[in-house]
Amino acid sequence: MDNILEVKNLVKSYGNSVALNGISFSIPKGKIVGVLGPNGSGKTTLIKIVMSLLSGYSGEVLIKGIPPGSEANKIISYLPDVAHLPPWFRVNEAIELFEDYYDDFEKSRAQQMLTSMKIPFDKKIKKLSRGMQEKVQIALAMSRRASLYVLDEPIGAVDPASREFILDTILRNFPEDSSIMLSTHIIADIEPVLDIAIFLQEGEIFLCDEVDKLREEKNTSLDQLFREVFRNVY
Amino acid sequence: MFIKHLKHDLLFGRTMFIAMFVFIIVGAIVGRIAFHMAADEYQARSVLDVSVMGSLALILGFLAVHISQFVEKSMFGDSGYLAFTLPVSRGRLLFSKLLTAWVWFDFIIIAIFIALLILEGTYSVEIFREIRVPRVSLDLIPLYLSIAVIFFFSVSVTFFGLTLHNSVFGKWKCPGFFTSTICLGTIFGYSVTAIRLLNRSQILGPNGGEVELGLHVGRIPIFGSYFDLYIAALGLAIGFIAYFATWYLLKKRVSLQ
Repeated sequence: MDNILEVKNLVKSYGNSVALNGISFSIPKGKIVGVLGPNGSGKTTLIKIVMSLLSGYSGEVLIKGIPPGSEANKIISYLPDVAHLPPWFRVNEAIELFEDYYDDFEKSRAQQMLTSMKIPFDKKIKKLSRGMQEKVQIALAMSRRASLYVLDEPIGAVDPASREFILDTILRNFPEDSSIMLSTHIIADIEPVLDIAIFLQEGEIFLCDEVDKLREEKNTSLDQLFREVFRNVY
Repeated sequence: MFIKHLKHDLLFGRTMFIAMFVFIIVGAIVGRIAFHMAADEYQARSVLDVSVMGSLALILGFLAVHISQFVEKSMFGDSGYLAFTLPVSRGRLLFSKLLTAWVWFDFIIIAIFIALLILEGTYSVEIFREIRVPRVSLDLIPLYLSIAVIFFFSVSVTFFGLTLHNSVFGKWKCPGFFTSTICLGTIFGYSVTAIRLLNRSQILGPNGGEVELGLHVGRIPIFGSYFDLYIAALGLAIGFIAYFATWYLLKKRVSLQ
């Protein structure tokens, strides 16, 4: 099987509001896929469904042939857009937690990354700044040898200098045969690393193609294309 | 994997439970000293009666609140993004929470048992002979079982309420205030019906009725009242229904916002 993630006719509604309206796409092995769209376009809803955080949807979602759930979580490394580590934990306790739960977690890699980020191991998570918490979460997520990395707004909460560092961390620690699905609305920073771009607008896929191809066809950067496509949204 | 998960759950709030343990023991020592210093028989009986019952209710109430917070903080909200994305099935997640709550419950019961041993020394004093505080004996086993049934009932109903609020039914059909009120009301109503402590208190009311156990094994006093086996069966049944309803919601209807 060459596709890590397959989504077919996915529909999700919140009451009378349709968040995802029958979207279908697949993510091949070894690719970095950007799910791009403005706020409320359905990016986080899509990610939550892949991570089995939302139910009550129709359609099919398969991660290497496995539906979302505890089995699929063994091969997915997830970075949410919230501070999800227990705030009362110390950094070294968070490392132990990941080591306990995930067979593919590389403790030495995590320790190396956190040391290079100058994050003290004995400090409680709640005592760290938001940016440092984000870095801890990134380090833990990227220290796993997962088949699919799902990163929800990985650079949304940090300053521009940290964004570059985070993207560099992601690229340097990403196994060649794995795939990454990341969502963002900060296109300019992400564009250089993307292989495939999926533009989501009001729960539907507006564009889905290889980034190089899109740049050639539209004769513009992805960032500029994003601004043109979603100009009317704002 | 389950053992590791249980380990992490048990470590949550360990400081609080150790503090509670110490507080109960120290309270019993202070209570024993205070009873010997009481001015007269009525004062001593009043203090003992209200203190023991009030402290027990306070401790169990605090335990219930802390367990609710434990489930809320470790399974829902931002922490839910970690809990529900672990490679652990929803059934095991829930069972681990129940088991953890049970371990903490027994830990506090051991503290209460030690406290009763300390207080029992007061029975040597003439004026304390009529007090309804149970002596440390096998009679405490039915008391433990009765409180255990109330505890299981309360925990299951609380789990259900919290999960319902965080399910697809939660935000627009079952707001937090509604589910909290229903759960607390159910727990309180069952507890009062099952134990009827209020009736047995010398300070708060006259002597209440006594229900003979259906098995005809004789009367087993529990704070001067009796635990009806039928109430126990009802509590267990509702507790199990709430538990499995929670499991269903976690498995099929979770909606983490």
